[in-house]
Amino acid sequence: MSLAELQNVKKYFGDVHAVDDVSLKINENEQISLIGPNGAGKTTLINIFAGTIKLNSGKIIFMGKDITHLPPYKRCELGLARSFQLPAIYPNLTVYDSVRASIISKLKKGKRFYSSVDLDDEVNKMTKEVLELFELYNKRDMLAIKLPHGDKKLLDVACAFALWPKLILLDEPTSGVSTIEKRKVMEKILSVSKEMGIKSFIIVEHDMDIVFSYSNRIIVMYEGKVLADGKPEKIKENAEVVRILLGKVK
Amino acid sequence: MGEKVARRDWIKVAGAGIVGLAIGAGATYGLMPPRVERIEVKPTPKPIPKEPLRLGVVTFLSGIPAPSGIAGLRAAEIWVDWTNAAGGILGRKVELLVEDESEGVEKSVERFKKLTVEKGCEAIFGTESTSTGLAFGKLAEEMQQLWLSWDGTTQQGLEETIPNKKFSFPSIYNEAEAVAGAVLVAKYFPNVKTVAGINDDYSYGRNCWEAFMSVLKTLRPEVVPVKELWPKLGESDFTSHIAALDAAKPDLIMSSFWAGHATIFLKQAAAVGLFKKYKGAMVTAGGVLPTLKKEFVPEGVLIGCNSWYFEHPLGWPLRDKFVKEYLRRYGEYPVYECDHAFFTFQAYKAAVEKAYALKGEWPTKEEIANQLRGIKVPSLSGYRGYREDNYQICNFFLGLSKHDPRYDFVTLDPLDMVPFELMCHPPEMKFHDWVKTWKS
Amino acid sequence: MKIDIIKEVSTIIPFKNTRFTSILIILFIIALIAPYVAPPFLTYILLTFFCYVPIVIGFNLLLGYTGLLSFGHGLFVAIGMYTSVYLMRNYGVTSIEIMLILAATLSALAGFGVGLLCIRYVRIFFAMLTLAFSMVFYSFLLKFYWLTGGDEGLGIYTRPALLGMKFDTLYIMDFLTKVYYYYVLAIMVILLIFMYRITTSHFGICLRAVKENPRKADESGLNVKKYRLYAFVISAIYTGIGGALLVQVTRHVVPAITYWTYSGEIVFMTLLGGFNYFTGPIIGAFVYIVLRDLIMSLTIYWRVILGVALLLIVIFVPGGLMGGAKSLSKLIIKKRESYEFS
Repeated sequence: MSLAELQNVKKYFGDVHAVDDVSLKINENEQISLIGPNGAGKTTLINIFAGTIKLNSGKIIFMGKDITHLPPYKRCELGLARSFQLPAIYPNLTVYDSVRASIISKLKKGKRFYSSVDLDDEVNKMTKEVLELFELYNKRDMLAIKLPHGDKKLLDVACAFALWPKLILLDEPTSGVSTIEKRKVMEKILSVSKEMGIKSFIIVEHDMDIVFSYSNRIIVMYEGKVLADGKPEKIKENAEVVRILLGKVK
Repeated sequence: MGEKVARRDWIKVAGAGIVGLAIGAGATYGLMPPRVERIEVKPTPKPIPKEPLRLGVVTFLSGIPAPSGIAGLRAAEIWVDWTNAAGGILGRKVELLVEDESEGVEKSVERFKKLTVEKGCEAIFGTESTSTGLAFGKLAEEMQQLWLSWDGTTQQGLEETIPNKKFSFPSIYNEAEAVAGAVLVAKYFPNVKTVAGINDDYSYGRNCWEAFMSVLKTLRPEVVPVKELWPKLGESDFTSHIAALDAAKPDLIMSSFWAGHATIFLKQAAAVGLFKKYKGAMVTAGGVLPTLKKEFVPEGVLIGCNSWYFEHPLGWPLRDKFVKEYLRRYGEYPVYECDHAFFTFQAYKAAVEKAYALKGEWPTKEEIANQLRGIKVPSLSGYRGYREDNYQICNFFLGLSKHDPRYDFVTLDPLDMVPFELMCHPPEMKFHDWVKTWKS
Repeated sequence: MKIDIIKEVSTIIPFKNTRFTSILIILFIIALIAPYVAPPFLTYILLTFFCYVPIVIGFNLLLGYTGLLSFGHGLFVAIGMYTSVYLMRNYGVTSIEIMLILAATLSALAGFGVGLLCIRYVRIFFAMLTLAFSMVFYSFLLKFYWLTGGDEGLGIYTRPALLGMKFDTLYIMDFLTKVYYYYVLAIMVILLIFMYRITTSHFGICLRAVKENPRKADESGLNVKKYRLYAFVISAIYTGIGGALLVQVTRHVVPAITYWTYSGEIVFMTLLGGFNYFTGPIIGAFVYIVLRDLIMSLTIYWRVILGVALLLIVIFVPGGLMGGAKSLSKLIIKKRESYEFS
């Protein structure tokens, strides 16, 4: 059974066909890279998937359920999490509380009005685990807004991981990070996902090196359409892809 | 024994989580017996206290009713100056402590308590608004503090809620001027058949309209109301209301506007000549008589001046002296609130002196209150007093507007003095039962 | 389930932070002995302040913890007040506990209804909508005067029974400052503890997440609207209880409570103290009530003076009095440290 399915998804902004009739099947254990030049519709596709923006037509199935019209928090309850290109943080929450919010959401403990969260060992244990995996534990008392840029991105990703989702959508987790750091970040994400048992994700990425070394499936988008979809080695051989991507890079 | 039981009860409070409360509670119980000060037989009367006598005033110093409140306060200050110059009350100098009433009931109540508890005022004067009056009436009884109201006594409110007033001395009934107005309408405009009313949308406006119509219908059963308008208090554009009144073509327009809005209404009405076409009864507009200029108030409009008209053919030295002083200090003519305020202080002074004459020492508040009931003293408009049920007694002045070359505002001629008994129902009766006893 | 009492208590009173704990204890002792050492009117002002504490902390659950500025909280104060007055006048109820419970229930219901409509919006739209609801209620109170007493309002003429005990023979000021004072103090402390626990609960963390970044919270599986609604209802309950406590002090209720200027005062107190801190609104309420009492007797322009004060605070110390105090103490600690190092 496939994990998720997009059927003929369309999203127009006026005359711009941001996402134009995209159909995809996503299976478990797939580490997908979503690539394409700027304006290809990658982020829009992620936003549609997560429910951040509404689509014009089409259908989205996740875990066998039609989630086309579900609000983001319901999709999240089903096991779909995401991070943002510009890191989305809770500016005046500490790093610790930011992750705790995700954990509480995951454990469905948000309606405990009177129980002290500091005394909740389960929540605190899980929070510590996630923060240690992301090497943010020693920064746990810092306000999120005071973190350096790279850590903000990491915290955003950590919050998504703390939901233990079935599928995670990472929108350019390495943007704004130096080339040397990029590999570190990616390796971190991969090792953490292994550690936490999160097997499936879609990553929007620009860096071809990273794309080809860390994913087992690549989807190339161009002008709102899926141009190519397949194993990395196959994509490498696709002449059109090479022309568009390399042409842009040049 | 009782103490023990109480303590146990209080421990329940402590059980709620606050152990320390028990300390306070135990001590509290010591206060349980009623606070009645036993009058002991003293061999020699106590001398009159030397420190100045503090009297509190709570009135409108800002907001719509401020002109009225400030006028009252000025009269109070003049009274204090005159009294202190003459040696004070029984030799005690009088000191006024003033607080603003315009911040609403919650804060006015706080002010009342501040003046009483913290400042040690012997009596509280003032109040204009009916809501503050209602709250103060009860407060005075609860606090056992004298309260002499200037204005704004709500009729049913105080009668129903404080049947036996001991410390509160309300002003004259709210709708007295409407009753007097109705009587004079029947006298001066006997052919009136249809009446339109424009009154503020609050208790005073409603009381006035109701009382006016009820009395007028008793005297002239054929009269019917054709239009009722209720602009909200604070409104300053009446053009649409004036158009509606004009469209209704009534024989008479009645209004109980009492402050700046009376002037504005008359000004805007003059643009269409409203009161030239129809008869008018502005039963309370005399409160701002000096602002009712001749350009926009035609002759022949019935205007009520409450208890105070700035001159009188019969003459009254205290009035003339006061008008002169007021003109000298503030460059304008006094209004009725001055008379109310002046009267309350006059009455207080007389009551203290009477009680002192009986007792031989400075009287308690209760003793002063006993002397206030039924008292009659000279005020600015003549003799005024308090009825046995603590309500103010005074006569009202109403008349038809006249353009007198000596003044730039309208004056009243003929001027009628409506006696108290004609406007206010006796204490043992309700207003509507009282009106029913009338026969035209 | 085992509950470790010491641990539970330590979530409220931070024993480790000895300075903070000792301040708490000192304040509590001052509150306890005030009626016997302070002048009666000061105690009365303190009592008024205690009644405002549930109102401002309830309000701040919305502003400080949910990020919603309500400009119509006078509505719930009024519901608390009118409920009490109605029960006392029309149904002869004397037990204040019944009044408090009913006031809380009705406020909760009203909060649910109003909240359901208002939480669809945020920022200025939310503020305007709450203001509108409050003003609608204001008009209702004025227009249906045969029910509500209209502009004159309604007074209460009997005294409430506290925990079933009546104090009708006591002088009113003694009743208020020596008996009712402790009752309100106890309720205030209980409500404070509850509120503190709410803000540090699982719910509290999620609420702050919703405030800080509603979009992210939504994508993290938190139903943003529901959290806002819960906060609104809790806030309404607190405010209603505050109103029910307060009306026994003023002993009279008028529609002006629902007028926007009154709601503005609640906003004022909270901003003055600093809405980012749990204690901020409490300190704001205290300073506001005491200052108001002092300045009001001096000048009728007290609103202008307080307004200018607030303006200065908003411009120069955006964190309010608490924020200012915090940065000041940080500065002092830094200085001290630099001395030690030098």
